[in-house]
Amino acid sequence: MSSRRSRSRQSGSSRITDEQISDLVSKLQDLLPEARLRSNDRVPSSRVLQETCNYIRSLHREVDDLSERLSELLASSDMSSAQAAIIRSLLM
Amino acid sequence: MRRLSLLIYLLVHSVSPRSLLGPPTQPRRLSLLFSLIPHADQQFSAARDFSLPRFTFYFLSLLFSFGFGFHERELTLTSHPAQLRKHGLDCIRLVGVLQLQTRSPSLLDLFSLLGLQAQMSDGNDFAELLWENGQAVVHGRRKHAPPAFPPFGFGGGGGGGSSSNRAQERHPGGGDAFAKAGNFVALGMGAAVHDFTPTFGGAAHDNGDDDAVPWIHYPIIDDDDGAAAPALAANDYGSDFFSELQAAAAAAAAAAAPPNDLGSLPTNNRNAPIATTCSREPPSKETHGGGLSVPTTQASPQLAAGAAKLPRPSGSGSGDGVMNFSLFSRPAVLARATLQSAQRTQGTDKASNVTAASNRVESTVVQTASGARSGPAFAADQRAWPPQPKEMPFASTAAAAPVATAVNLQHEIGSDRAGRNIGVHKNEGRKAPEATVATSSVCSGNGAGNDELWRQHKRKRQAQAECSASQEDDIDDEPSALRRSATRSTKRSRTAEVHNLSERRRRDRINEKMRALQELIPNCNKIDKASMLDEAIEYLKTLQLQVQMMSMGTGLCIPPMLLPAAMQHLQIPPMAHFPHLGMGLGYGMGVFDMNNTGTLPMPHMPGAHFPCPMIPGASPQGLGIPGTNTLPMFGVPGQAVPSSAPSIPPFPSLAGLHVRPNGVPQVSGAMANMVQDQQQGIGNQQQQCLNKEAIQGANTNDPQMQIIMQVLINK
Repeated sequence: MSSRRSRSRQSGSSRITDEQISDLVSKLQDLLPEARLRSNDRVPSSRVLQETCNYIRSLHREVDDLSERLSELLASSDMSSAQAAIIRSLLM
Repeated sequence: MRRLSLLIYLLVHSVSPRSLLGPPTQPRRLSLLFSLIPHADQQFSAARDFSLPRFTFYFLSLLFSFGFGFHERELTLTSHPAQLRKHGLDCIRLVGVLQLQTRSPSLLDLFSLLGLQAQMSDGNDFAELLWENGQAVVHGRRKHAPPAFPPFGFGGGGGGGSSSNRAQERHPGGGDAFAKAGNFVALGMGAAVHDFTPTFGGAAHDNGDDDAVPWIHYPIIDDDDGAAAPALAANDYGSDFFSELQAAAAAAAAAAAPPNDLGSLPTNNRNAPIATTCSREPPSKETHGGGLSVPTTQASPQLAAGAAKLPRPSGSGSGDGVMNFSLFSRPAVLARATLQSAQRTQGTDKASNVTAASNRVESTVVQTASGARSGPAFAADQRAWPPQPKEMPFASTAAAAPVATAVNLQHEIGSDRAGRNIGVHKNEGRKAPEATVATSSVCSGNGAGNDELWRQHKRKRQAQAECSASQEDDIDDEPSALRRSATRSTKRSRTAEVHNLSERRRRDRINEKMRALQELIPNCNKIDKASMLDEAIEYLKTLQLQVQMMSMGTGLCIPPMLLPAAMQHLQIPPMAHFPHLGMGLGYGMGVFDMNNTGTLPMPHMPGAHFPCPMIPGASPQGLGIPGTNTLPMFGVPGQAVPSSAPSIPPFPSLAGLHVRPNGVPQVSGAMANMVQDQQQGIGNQQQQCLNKEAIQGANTNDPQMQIIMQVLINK
């Protein structure tokens, strides 16, 4: 009896969690470039997550590229120290 | 004379990532701040760890270098104002934004230490301190009626009239500060503003209770919203935020000073639960004698991992900060590490570990129950558990967390607790069959989807089994009770299994992706999925911001002519629709366009051009960021996202453009002036442009160093 009650409570709480999570996933989806999820309106969560992973990876690559480029810019050194400082700060 | 204007925004109210609707305004603001930190390049090394906690940490550490410090969990000013002046500071502006329900003792202390009566009552959720030339002025936001100030040129929207009252409030103390604030805004907006200051909070006034919002630029959870978005998010964010800080602090502190403060975070209510988690681990606590240092060693792998990801601050100032933080950082770190460890173990080998863990849980419970072997006592004990998790921040996870954590920790460290473990194993061995039955049934019914929840469930069941077992132990002639319970649970679980099969598969897939996502997020120690997703969202935003910032950095060298001159007049849809797209382009372009004008761009950007669609009452002024949907930092938001942006290929093209040696954009120049020291030439054109107001106001030709600090503290 008690276990049954706990189970129903369980499922209730998990349903709430489901709602939360789908909500979050939709927010995540909003952050994604639309090109990545062009298919249709209803995108499964797993797909969103997958695309998020991919997107994060691509962003990582982009950051790498950009930092490379920034460091090149920095190395070219034909800029004012102000610029250099900014670029350095961007490079972190 | 160097002037340092510190804007400290203490956002006491919890702000969850979930409440950050729209594009990542917060990281953007932070990134601007970042560019304003002197020697930021030395302080920030990790490219991707670009987050609010980190910024806050460094801002705080910078703050410390100016004589502020944490004492006894409270942010206080440790040095006399005269000392501040020694630093060349003659003006400090502290702006604290307090939400209604939380009072920040630290802020109050800070104010009072500055010789101020902080006039913050409950009704006053905003207070501002202006310290200038030894005189401090505190402004309560609601103290004065709004004066008739001329609205900003670009004020537009809701903020024009209301913004003025802040200006007036301030003006007793601080013409200079205002000018500086104005500069900052000018920097942010790409416009020099006269009398500009007020806008900061301006829009807020329309919002009543939420007036802090535009100021901070994020939407704080409204009441209605708050109900929907559970405290979980906010709490997680807060705890995450602080624990990251603490992780950094603790990492540094491990090498530096021993902590003497056991307490949880002072200003952070949300961390208290974590700390309590820590204190709730009976085994580890006991064996360690309550010492804090021991947990650190336990948690060392996780802690080290976390610390490795955190950039170490360099310089004396940061060092101070670290030390100060370390005072209160340990417990949370410990708690977190333990949580993490629990999570790790469960995440990796789930199936096997689940049963094992449950066994361990069981045994732990037995331990805690130790003396009381009788059934009733045990039941009571068992009942005592559930209420605790409810108070914890990690809502669902919390349920299982304390026990599981304790158990896992104990198990991992096990060796030095031979005595205990003996007992444990004995129990374990004895109850293995029943426990497994219960576990497997439950587990199969639900799959990996709700690990935590099910763990909790499991724990309960096993506790039951344990209960019956112990009864059996005592009475020693009723095996049937145990059998009965086992079979019952099995049957039930079988129906559940059939029922949930497809659901389970789906959950499995999601969980798999979720783990993959988690791998990609640095310092993501979240256990439950909701907070994990929160973190993912946040991280994604910061990543986007970072890319944007960096592309802006590369774009700094673009000749202004290349940019469409007309784009500032274009009206554009709200950013929220393409946050990812507007990022780098709008940002950088706003800057460049602003440069292109070469004069005060303000007149060109009347409020009418600003879309400002989403935020009723919160007009996009202030620091240029308040609107959630607007591009915050540079340039007038509306302007910043040209409609031509889509046609322009993203960052690479911008980045690839050539460097113009002499064409320092004004904004960057201004930023650089802040970043650099004051030896920067006065005649700097950019500074003249952007700091015009400040210079005029100060009536001085001295180079000014202006650092505007925003410290966002999530409580």
